[in-house]
Amino acid sequence: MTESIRRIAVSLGGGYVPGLAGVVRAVAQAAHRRGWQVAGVRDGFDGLLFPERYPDGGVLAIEPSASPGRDDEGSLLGTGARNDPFHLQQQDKDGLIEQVDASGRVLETLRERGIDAFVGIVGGSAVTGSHALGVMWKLSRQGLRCVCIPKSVENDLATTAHPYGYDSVLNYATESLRHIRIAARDQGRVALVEVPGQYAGGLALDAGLAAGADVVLIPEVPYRAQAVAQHMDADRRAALIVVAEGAKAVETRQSGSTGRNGDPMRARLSPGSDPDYGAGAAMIHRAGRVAQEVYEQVQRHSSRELFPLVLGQLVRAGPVSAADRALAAAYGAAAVQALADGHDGHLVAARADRFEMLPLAEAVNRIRTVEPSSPALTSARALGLCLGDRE
Amino acid sequence: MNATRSERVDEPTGVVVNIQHFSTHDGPGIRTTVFLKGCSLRCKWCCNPETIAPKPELAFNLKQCIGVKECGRCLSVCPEQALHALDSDGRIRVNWDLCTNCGQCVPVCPSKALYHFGRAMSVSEVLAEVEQDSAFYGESGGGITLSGGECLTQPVFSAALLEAARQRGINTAIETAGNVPWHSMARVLPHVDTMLHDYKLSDPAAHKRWTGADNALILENFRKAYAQFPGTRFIARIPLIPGVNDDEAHIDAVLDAIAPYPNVVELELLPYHRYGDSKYGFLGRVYALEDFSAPPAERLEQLRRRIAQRFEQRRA
Repeated sequence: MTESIRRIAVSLGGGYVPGLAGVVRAVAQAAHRRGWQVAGVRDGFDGLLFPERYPDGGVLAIEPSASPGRDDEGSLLGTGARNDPFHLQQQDKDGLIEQVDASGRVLETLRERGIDAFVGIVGGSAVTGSHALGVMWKLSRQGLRCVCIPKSVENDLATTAHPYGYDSVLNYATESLRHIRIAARDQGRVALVEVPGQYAGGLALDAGLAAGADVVLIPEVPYRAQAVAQHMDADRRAALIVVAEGAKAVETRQSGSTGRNGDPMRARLSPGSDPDYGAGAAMIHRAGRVAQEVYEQVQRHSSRELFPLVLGQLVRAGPVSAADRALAAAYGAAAVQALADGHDGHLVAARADRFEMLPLAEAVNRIRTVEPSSPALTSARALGLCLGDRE
Repeated sequence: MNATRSERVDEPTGVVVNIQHFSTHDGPGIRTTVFLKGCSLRCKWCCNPETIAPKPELAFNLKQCIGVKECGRCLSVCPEQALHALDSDGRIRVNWDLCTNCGQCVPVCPSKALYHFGRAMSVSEVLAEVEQDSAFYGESGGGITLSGGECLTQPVFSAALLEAARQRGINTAIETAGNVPWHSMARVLPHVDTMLHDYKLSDPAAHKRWTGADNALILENFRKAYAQFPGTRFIARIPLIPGVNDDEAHIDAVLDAIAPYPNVVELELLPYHRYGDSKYGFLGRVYALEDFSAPPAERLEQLRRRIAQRFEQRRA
């Protein structure tokens, strides 16, 4: 029998999506009805690791009526998480910079503050941000009683049909793309717009379909620049190309060979030191790089005038959708219920008709990519939308 | 990790990332440069990110992965669930949050998509490798150079390796940024013929912003080194990053700092380059300085003339 809960903490993994305050408030409201106190940790785990950086406290008491003040759509706690407690960079007593595991410090601080359980509102597959879901799983293995609520900009968590935030992001991305298309068409030009999606093209495809895009390039379907150019040239009214961050061109030559006459010592120690090794293929690009790359490749083959734009992280900056407001309430209630039911170390995953409790071990690393037979891809092809893979 | 155990149990062991033969930029003559792992700074322009962490660490090159349909061996050996396949291309991805760098996936990967940056080596193992080039040292005035990372974060190994090299008549050099306790530097310097050392930024606050630590300890260490090791050749260097430290004020400050010491024989400018880009991807990190470019040749020439003038004045 697990010990009864008196006080819980809520924290947000890195990555803003609109209306996160609603999720925090819903957790607080459901917890208060059970007589639990609720504390909020600022900026991921930073409020616990660096309390000195927060003059008004790294951990805040949260009342169900909590208001974020002037701006109703903030997150109350901040999504400025920059530190993974398992890989914390700090200076030692000699001034040398080192990386330490501060997870023990996090657990200790939570204990000191009388916090019995934890709700993490996290994403799971960001390539560059914190893989918060993996961090929560490790903390749970170290004894933290916790449940996770999934949030995502790219709808790339395979374990849930409805991550928090995706609907708002999709609405805003669609509106932005629609306006860009109208303006571009009016000028007789072609807007090439990059949206998030390093591994998963869900957002690009959904928003592209909804906004009336002419071409959508996603990581799951490698493109050929000529095919895109041909499509744009054939229809003078075509005006919008949507590109997911992870979109890639068809590989022209087969890689994977290691048969070099390299120095065996060098190869043994560090194959990456060989300039021929992979030739920079694994580079993780920052926002904007893919739009520029695709623009340069396609413009070479097209008679139309293209211009690259980066919607990128701006997709996070829109209003909260009604669906997400409802989802926030449901997730808050479900997370508190999960803690009360003893589902420690679980992800609260929204399915079409219910919430499912999934062990974190089964939730990590599950990335949803666009399948060839998915309804979105099938409809896109049926509508004549170009994915860059066919002439 | 399958480091070869040395027969001499008391022999120091270090973590080596790479041994580069026939280097011509790391000290006098033709040299063999031994890159040690572990660094005490975090320069935003670092072109050797694989040398930063002190222990061997996993790197992953997606292009080399042959996919789970053909292989997938790594998935069954990873004890941390840090590897997973992506449905859309059937290739592996690394969840860097979960990876502990245990290295169990490295020997089972047939295409070397997964590999370790760095491995433990004994003094004699490194020496055996270095001595292969000894024919080139005599003529050119070359020898062994310890680089990194920061080779002085492994002072016991570095001192033992350089001492042994010297006993075999090999010329010794180190490359250091100097952000180490003085006792580490003092332990190694008696075995060093040439010390190449970096002056990254003059302003302490800017130094901290760009490298993670201020420069008080570094400057103090360099002053002590010049004064206490008059027989050692010191070559000061500035890694030139456009917009960060390519200003006359910094160059002049360094020239002033080295002016009183005749054993500081040179001030070199190292133009920033981006050869390290892809390695960030292999390690699952994003390069902070993707938008920086190498300094233009004219600017480099201008600053080099400024340095040459000061050295001429010094000689006169």
